[in-house]
Amino acid sequence: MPKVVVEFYGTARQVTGQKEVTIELKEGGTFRDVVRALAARYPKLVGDVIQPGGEELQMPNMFNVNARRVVHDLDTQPQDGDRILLMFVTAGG
Amino acid sequence: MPTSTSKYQYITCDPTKCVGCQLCEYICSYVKTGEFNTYRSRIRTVRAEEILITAVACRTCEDAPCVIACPRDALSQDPNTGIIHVDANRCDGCAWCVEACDFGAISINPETKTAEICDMCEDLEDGPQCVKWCPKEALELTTPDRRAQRSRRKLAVEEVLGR
Amino acid sequence: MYGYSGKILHVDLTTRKTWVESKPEEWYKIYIGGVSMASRLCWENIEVGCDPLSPGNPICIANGMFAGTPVPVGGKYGLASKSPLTGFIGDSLSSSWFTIALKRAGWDGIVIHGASDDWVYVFIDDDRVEFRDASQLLGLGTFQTEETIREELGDDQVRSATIGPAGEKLVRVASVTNDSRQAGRTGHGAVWGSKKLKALSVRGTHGVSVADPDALLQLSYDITQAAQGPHTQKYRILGTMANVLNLNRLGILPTRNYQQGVFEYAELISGEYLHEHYHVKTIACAQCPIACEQMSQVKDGPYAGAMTGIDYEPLYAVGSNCGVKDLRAAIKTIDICDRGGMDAMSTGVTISWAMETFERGIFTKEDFKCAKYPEGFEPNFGNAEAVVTLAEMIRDREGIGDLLAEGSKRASAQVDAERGTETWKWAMHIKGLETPGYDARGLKTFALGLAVGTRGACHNRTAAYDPDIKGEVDRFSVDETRGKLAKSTEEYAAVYDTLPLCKFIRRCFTGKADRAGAWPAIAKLINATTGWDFDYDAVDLIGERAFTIKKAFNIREGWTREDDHLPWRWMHEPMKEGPSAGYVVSEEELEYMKDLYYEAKGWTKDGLIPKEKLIALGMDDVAEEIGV
Repeated sequence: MPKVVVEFYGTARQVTGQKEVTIELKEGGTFRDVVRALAARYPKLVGDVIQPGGEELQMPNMFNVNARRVVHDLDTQPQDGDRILLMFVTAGG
Repeated sequence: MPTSTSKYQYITCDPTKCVGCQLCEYICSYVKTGEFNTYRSRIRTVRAEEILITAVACRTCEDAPCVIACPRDALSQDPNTGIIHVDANRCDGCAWCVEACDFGAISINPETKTAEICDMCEDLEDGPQCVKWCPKEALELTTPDRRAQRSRRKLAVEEVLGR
Repeated sequence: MYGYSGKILHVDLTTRKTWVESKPEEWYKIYIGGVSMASRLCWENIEVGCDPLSPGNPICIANGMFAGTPVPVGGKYGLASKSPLTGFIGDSLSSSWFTIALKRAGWDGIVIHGASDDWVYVFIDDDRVEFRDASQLLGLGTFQTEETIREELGDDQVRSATIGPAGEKLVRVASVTNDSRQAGRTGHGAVWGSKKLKALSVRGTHGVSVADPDALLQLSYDITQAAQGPHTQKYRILGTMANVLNLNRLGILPTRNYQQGVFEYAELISGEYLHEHYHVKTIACAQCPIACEQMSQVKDGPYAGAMTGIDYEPLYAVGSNCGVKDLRAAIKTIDICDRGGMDAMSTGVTISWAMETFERGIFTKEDFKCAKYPEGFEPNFGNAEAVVTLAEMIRDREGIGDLLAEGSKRASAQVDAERGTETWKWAMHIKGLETPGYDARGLKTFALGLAVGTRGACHNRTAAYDPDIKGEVDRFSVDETRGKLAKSTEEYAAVYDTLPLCKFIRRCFTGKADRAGAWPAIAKLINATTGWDFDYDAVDLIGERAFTIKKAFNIREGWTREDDHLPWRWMHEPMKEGPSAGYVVSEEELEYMKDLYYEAKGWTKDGLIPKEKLIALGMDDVAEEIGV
């Protein structure tokens, strides 16, 4: 079964109190399954980080895979061993 | 700091929540004058020492010193609400009430030369507009009793539960 | 006219005369306010080709239509002069009470001409102007100057924009400060110092009227409420400091003068760490319901007592970029900059240039002698006390601080001329303005946005990091979309900078920050305020016009295509490690993207503006002067 690591940044880290979590997916599991797993495991993420319903990320949070690419379609599949960064980036100041 | 002795409601500000945005002053001045001018607001924000921020409006003191101080009997206190009413025909802008107020909650309108005091928007259905607008929920309509209850509860939680 | 008074105040410091200029409504519809109107006033009033520190360079201030109304985050103003760092347009923004006071005093803008023989501050008391002796204010820090003036004038409601000791000494990275916010970049403090203008103080007592107050209130109320939700969560809790860990993870956190993009101690200087250990209070600018400024205080160690608002940009500059892992020292350095009246970004990046120059053996301990360390000190990366001390030396122009006060471009040129070295290769600036907190080798669209920026390397005037970071394009490569993206993102930013509204509100109109999400709502705000009839297209034009007047200014001051460059390091030294390892922005990539950009803008291959283009934008008089 594929395993991914979700790294928490910003709000996600504050809410969960964790830097990262390992999630096991079923064969064929998608990024949306990652969102569902996070919502189930950390209900407090629902609101500011995950949209009510637990199916979508709340803007402007996003998944970045291995610091290389951003996930645009949650129904695609991560690779085993992917590190998924849950973050938002803000400019200014 | 002087405290209100009132049984009446008044608008209070929690300085830990207030961020100093002044939206209360904008909305107050608009409701009362039809213009946006924080100089004409009946609630005033205060900033000191860079990080101390709060807002002050009439505390509806019992036996209100401003009423007592007025040499022309222009000020009166509503016995039910504690709100201070200003009789514009009598008030001549002498500012004795301003001096008498420990909270700095009274100002004199430079054009009409009459005293202006928070009336908690008593004529509006949804109550004080500053409370409605405050984005940080720092303002609330409360009484000294309710404030005391909350302080006791907060203290108990801190002392007993250590948080 | 609603939203404007129609009046610009002119003040001549040489003759001590003042006069009032009336502007027609059509002029306001084109230049609007903020950076656009300030830049236009600079275009109209400068002696072309003048030395930025000479009397011919005007100080131009422009309010916005929303100042003094409940429109959230509308309390901002634009400040423009010719920049002593770049020699091109220096357009800055600052927030809070100063601009609101100016609005209530009845002025849409101020132009300050000439130079005073003695130190003065100018007090604008509604429609009365007073020149006041500033000798007792000399040497005072920015915040203290504001307080002292309030005491002197006996009114808490007097709001001042001031310079600190750095501006007095013509430090080229000096800023202008009001209400503890800065018009930080491009060296305005030195321009004020050259005119012996210590402060501009304002008391405004009039009310502000708008065309449709009920509509404006309802719109403002809804935005205010939306600004408490997830759309601004990132600003309210950690503020911009949340970027430290994010950008570090993406391999673009400037580290040790941009030699690296990953800082091994990033956790120790993160927003999360700051929040837990040093945060004392979150505060807002006037008229802002978001409140993003994280006031932070050092409680122990040699820098105990230092306190100021900490944002990401100053922090990367004096933190990771100088190899500093102690937030206490970083807070102290930023505190020195804020009180001394200096741009912490340019200060930090100039210090990091000096540190690298030392580590490469060009500077020696001897070069760093000062009153505090008579034998000198060794500013290796990570030496926090060295960074603190160098900030003080720049502020006071003490020892090597006198050289560094010139900014990295001039300092490196001087060292290279004297010693035959090539330190310019690690001077991190564009057009003379030091680079912001993103390593552009891992953000190719942003690299273009920075290179073509009219005020030099600025992350606020282009939002081109957005498509890179959000993954709308591949951030590591270049393709034909980048010219249009650079145009689109810089003009998007310019709409906010011109109204001006703080960009942090951009998601609060409809939940979507793009043009479709924001422009219709902004048009409603404009119309309720002014009674105009703006639509999506009219809002969109605000940004293009703003960028055009700034570019026109630069062309008239001698800009050529070669001025749109990147620091040598970004173009020749591949990133060493992390997710951006191996990347540079090559000469070929940059020139290709510049071609695309000029084409997207409708300019010539040389980056000049055709006459027809200017006329179509309603800028006929500009077309006459610089159109091709």
